[in-house]
Amino acid sequence: MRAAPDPRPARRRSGRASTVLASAVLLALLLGAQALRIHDDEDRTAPIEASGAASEPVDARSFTVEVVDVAFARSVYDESGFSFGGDEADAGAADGAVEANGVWVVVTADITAAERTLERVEAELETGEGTTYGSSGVSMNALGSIGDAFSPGIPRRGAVVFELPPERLASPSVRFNVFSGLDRRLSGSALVDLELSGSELKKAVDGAEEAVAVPQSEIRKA
Amino acid sequence: MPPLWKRLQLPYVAAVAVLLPVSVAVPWWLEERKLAESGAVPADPVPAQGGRADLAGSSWEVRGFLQDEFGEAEPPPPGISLVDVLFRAVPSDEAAAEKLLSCDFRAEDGRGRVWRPDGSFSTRAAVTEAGAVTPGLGGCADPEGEPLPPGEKAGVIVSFLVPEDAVDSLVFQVQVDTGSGEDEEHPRAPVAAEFRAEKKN
Repeated sequence: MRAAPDPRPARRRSGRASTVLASAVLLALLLGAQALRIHDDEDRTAPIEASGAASEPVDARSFTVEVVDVAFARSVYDESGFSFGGDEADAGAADGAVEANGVWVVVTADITAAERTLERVEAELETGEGTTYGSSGVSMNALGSIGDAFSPGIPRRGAVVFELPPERLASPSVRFNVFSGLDRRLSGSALVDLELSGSELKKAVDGAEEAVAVPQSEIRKA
Repeated sequence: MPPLWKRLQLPYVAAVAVLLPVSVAVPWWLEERKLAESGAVPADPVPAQGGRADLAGSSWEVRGFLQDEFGEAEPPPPGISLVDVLFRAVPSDEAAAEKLLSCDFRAEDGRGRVWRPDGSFSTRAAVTEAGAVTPGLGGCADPEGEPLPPGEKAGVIVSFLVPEDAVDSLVFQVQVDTGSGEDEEHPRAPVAAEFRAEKKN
């Protein structure tokens, strides 16, 4: 009498196959996770970026930014903070206007912190054709100057200025990084598309104003 | 055939389940303690009892807060409130008065938003005439920047600009260093207390 075939080898084989398959899947997941790792220390703690358009507030989690105006100018000057004889004071300030080697782009924005007070702003303009310009330090009034505090729920309006060759401009966006102290790690960052390109952009650049005043930043209605 | 718990490698699973949280929690706890001692993160505030708290040798009492008393100063834009919190502080001795030079304040609302003091209203006549301490960069000091006299009551007024919708849920935190922070042997080791204040106007 022949004994019935033992079912165990077949079960063992299928068990082994599933172990091999599970190991292969785990290995693939491990390699995938490894590929997702950020190897550069600076990149690992770089500001976390949100993006949006100038026509709406852009939420960068630790703050929101809304671009309210974009102006082009051949020269810029700091608007005076004095309220007495303001016109004369501003006329004096306009005498000290700084002419652009190219064109000035003056971007006015409202920045509102979300939960913690922030004090510093770093802004960059991406031209849309691969070049990035940092904001100019020519204006003492620019957003993020000494004494500017971005308190939670209280919008602060001010401007950042960029000096650049107009032919570099294609479809500009401005990156706002707002943080406190010296530590930018894990801070918020917002890339705002200025929604200017083609003939509209050319018209705006060609029609650049002779001189634009950079106002002191001020808190706005909450 | 071995028992089910052996086949499922339960002892190993249990060991990982115990060791993994420990290996994460212990370095986190050590790092947090180090940051708290150095003052790099705000101290965890202790709730004040009956509006009073002792901090680094000084007793603090909250007297209440005033809303939108702008006096002769220009009011902020609509939707923003000025909150003046009134404290009474008594340093027990010279060392405690010295430590008050590190005093720091925060206001926090029910949504977890935190505001720092605003110094732009500290020159209002009502504040200067009250002879109260308005803490600035030099902490809680007399008008000459010297430590407050030990054993004497000092009025302290701290002003915050906050959105109107935050006012009702505000709590106020006072933080004082217990150490000099000059080196690692003497860390700042700040302590903090949290006060709820009644509106007085």
